[in-house]
Amino acid sequence: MTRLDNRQIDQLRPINIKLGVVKSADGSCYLEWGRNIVIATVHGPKPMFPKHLADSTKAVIDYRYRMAPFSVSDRKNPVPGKRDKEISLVSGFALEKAIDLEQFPNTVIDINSIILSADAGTRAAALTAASLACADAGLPMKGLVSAVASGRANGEFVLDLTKDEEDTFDAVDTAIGVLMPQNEIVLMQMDGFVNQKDWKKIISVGVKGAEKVYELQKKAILEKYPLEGDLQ
Amino acid sequence: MSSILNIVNADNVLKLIKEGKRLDGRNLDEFRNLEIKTGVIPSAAGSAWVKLGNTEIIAGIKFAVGSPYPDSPDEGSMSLNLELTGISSPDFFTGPPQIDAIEYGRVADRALRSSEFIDFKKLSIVSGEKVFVIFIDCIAINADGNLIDATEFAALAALLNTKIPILDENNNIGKELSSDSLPIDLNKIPLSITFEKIDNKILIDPTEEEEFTSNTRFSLGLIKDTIVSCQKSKGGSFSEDEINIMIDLAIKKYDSIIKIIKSLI
Amino acid sequence: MDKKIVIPGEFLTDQRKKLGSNVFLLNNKVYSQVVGLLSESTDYISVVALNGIYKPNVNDGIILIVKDDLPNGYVLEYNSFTDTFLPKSMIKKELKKGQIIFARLSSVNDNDTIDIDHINILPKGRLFNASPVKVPRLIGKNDSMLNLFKNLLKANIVIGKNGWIWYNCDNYLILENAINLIINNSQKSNLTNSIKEYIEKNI
Repeated sequence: MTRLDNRQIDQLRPINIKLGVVKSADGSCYLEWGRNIVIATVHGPKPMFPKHLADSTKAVIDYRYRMAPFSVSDRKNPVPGKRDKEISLVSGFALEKAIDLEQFPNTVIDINSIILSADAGTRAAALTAASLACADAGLPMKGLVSAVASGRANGEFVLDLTKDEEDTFDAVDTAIGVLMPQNEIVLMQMDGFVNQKDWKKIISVGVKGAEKVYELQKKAILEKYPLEGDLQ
Repeated sequence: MSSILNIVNADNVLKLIKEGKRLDGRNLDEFRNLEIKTGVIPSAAGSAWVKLGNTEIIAGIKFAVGSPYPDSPDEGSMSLNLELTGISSPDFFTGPPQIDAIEYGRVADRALRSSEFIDFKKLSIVSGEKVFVIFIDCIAINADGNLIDATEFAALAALLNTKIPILDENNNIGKELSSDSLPIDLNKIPLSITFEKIDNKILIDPTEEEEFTSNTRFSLGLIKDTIVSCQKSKGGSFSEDEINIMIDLAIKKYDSIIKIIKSLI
Repeated sequence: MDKKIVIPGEFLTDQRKKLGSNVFLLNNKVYSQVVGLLSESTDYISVVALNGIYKPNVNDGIILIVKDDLPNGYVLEYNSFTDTFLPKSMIKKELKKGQIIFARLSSVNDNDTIDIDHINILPKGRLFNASPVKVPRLIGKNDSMLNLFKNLLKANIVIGKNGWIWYNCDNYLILENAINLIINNSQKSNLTNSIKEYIEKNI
């Protein structure tokens, strides 16, 4: 059984990652995922202002997910809406679990992801890129957050849904973020209508999919640091 | 870059400028390397990624159907918006546009608008009722000075790369793009060229460190040797001679930059 | 031993070894905490980070900038996640906002502030921001890299352990390019020779 875009049910869309693309940031990542394009940057840890927002035991994560006005079919108002703010909140929680925040009390780590082009699965793409930007910044981490969507479309349990699949009559769409390699689920958001048996399959497809994303993340990090070759 | 380093390095910029030199080795009248890629955003009707030295701007074009202005019932319109967000600098915040972003965006917008290089009469849909509105959204990815010119170049390149969307039966924007480009007069393409003055010396295409050191800016919009817009900004002043020197210099720079922009078509 | 790049969360060993920097222990297994170069011997394991901010260590020579001049002392920034405060009683000379100093880090306090002594005021010059994790390579074994800058480029240069580099140099373009090359290629071997070649070719 193949899909509208000829993929296998457990196959990701093409993913292309490059680290260290934004010179002024402490860490950054450019990620293409199908027709999604994301840039994520990290600034910090740095002193938190105003000071009363600081935590004397650990760093605070300020994660912002947002969409460029031209990223969607009808121009989006640049002012972040409720959806952007909610995704920012829960994705920030996912990154909190991955980063060793206790090393940097009273500080803030600004993490920004901007969606330049959107075609389903943007929150997973943004979180995957953000986690790589953190690693690129040299932040101490337990692992990477690898995120992907899984769900159901046309009676099949599929990995990495497209916009068309999200719009099918029986669609279930779940965003899953997994702290790898520990395999801990740190992000999960779903909408749809699904029984327990199907739900188990969807999670299993998602977790296996996150492992595939993780392999691509690892490869992207190693590509930034070739051990041989001319100076660059 | 941390603003504290800009404070420290201002001395250095100043010392070199006195000798007619710049930190990146350029002459005072030399632009940084300009690289432009178009068609970088699949979701946009036109797009461009501009690198001017280390300054990087992405511009994306979207269309909407709107009402014409009462004084021009048969003309489409456009709106340029520049965002300086937390992506490009720890000093920018997500939220309402900051005053700098508003000024940079408006100066770039004015050069494009006054040149009349887009024939807005051809962007009318129903006379007096419906016209195309072009939204040019520019996002700073890396901010290292001269965001005005980089934004204007990105907007231009994106407009030249744009295809007009197909309208549905109700004259709303459809999902597909047509093969039609915008009605652009290639002989009237405007360029923005920006100068800063440091220690009475005029320099073109400033970096962030140079902008920090300078307290006087001048931006020109021009088509070949015709001036279409200008803006003097920041707290310093220019003499009449200096203004004329900058205009001469900008006219000299026009050809080499327009060649890069036209090579994209 | 061949060089190996590791990533955060990567399993390194389940043997009992003395743990160095940037690794953590979970269920008797050792994992990397950062992107970096693995450094392992029979009884010791650590990871050399390839990026990251400055974490204060006693006896480090660091570069600081006067950020604020308050009635009782100075706020100093030093490329870390906190600033520090220097009481006016600790220094005889008066400092100005934006002034650059080189000092020894004498202690790290519980609230993550630091104390400094052996304070030297640096003259006007250029301050360049490198990642502190690149400092060992910028200095080189037995100062080999630093000596290239001093001898071949006639640079007056001070490298702070906190990743800030102060210099005065007529060949500043070659110097900055060389520094950038070291930063971007710090994971490679034989860097001093490659940089020497680069400088000699461009001078």
